[in-house]
Amino acid sequence: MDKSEYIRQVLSRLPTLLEREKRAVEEELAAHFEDRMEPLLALHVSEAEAERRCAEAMGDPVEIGDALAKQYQSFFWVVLKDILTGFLVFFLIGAVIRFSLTTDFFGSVAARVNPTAGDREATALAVAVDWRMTVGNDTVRLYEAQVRQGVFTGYLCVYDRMPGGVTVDLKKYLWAENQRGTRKGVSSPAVGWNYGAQYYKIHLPVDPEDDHVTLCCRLYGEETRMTIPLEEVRG
Amino acid sequence: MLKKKQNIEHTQLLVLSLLAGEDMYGYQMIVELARRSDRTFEMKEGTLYPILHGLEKEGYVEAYQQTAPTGRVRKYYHITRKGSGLLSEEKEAWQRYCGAVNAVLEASLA
Amino acid sequence: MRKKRLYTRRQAALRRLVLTVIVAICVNHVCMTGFLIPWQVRRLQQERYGIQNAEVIEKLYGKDWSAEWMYLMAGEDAMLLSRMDWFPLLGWNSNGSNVLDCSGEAPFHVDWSQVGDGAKEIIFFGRAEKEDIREIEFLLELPENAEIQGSPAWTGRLTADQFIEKGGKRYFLVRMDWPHKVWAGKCTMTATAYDGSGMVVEELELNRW
Repeated sequence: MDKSEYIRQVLSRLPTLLEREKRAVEEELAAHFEDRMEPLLALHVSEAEAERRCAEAMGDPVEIGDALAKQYQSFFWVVLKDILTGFLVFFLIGAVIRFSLTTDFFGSVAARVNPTAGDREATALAVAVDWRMTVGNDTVRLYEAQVRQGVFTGYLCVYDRMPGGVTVDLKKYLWAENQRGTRKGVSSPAVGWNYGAQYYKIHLPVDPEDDHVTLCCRLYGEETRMTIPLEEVRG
Repeated sequence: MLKKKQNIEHTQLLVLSLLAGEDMYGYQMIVELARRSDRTFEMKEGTLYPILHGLEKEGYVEAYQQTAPTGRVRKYYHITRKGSGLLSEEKEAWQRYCGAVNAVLEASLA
Repeated sequence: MRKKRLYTRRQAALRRLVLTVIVAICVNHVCMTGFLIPWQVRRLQQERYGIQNAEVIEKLYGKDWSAEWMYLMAGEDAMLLSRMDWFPLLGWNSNGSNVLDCSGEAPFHVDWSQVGDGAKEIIFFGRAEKEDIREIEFLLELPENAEIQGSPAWTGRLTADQFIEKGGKRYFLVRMDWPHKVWAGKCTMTATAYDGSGMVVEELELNRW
């Protein structure tokens, strides 16, 4: 019996093996033949004779194949792996669909790194500032502001403490107050709806002698306040 | 026929013993086994592979591919911690067995 | 050649399990989709409405569509009626929520939601702040030009033994069938709380429209 016939007979007893497992068995047996034949070939034994002696030393291929097959009888792990692969494909397809349709994650990152990129109405006259307050799990950030002709204009963004996290729409809960107690709520600039980051703007009348405004948020009974000095944003 | 109390077959025990010293591939184990036992243990070589695959499935050995000193790529086997534990237990059991058999033999020869 | 590890069926499956879990967590967090368990959707909705540390008061199933689940949750000063659906390729997804601010001084807080396949059910939910509230009555009066099935006025009543007590607070939840083809928000909707002697404690109008 030659090498290829021997291996073929072994593999014929392994119907329950996957293709890659059969290839692995074939390679292993072929390697064994190769190693065993090497000294014989060095002694000028013919290749056919060397293969025959090796096959004899290996033993009955049917018995070897049957013994190997006993180690590969259960399909539980194979089926489990296939099910998990299905889940993996499902997640990746969902991710591609979601990523291509929404900008939530990018919005959340942009609000931290370059908030003006998210606000299409921010003007060239506004001064870049960085005032932040925490509301629950979110950060409210005043990133640009200006005082011109008696009006304080502020541009705000809100993002979750975790990059890519979901923000609360704080439009109903945010307002600014001047030193006379006048309150103005926020409005939304022309930015698309996004769970990753919310953008707002405020217009609040201020007097020339005012030195600060207060940004406030009241969410479910809990109030947070932040004082914003006007010195650096007066035009 | 008297049987010693043993959890694994003799050949599996011998294979684990070989691997306890160093990682080996199939043919290397055959050669080493014959050398160490002074050719007392010479098995049908193909029967080694079901044993190795069985040990791998049970977690007593793990396998990897690497280039052998001969320059060819071979499938090496490495004994795991679980396999080392089993080997220690079986060695101890075997030594108790041998001790008992020797004791009986010595008594009969005395 | 470097060592190339070869894996058994069991090891290959376990490696795939670890990879799937990691990808699932990443996709859930970054893409907010493909949620495998309702808890993830609840957590997302809590984040969306800014309700911290909410606990589940009651779990409900949609009447017409059993794959729709609802959770009534409550934090310290707010409640959330969270709705979610299961889709085979998208996992659990949020189907909207109603948030009720309970931080005010009112004797009771109440909100409503029209739910279900075909919007055939109304749910009233809320919290009774005053101890003497023993009954709450809900009244819906349909607008005059509405296509009515049966009576033009619908009522639901909740008695003291139906309140859900949790964490020292009293919550309530009422489900009413809604066979009309009109959005409930167009109805005149009131909720009236009564004490043990039948006296009115408070009457609230619930219209949103």
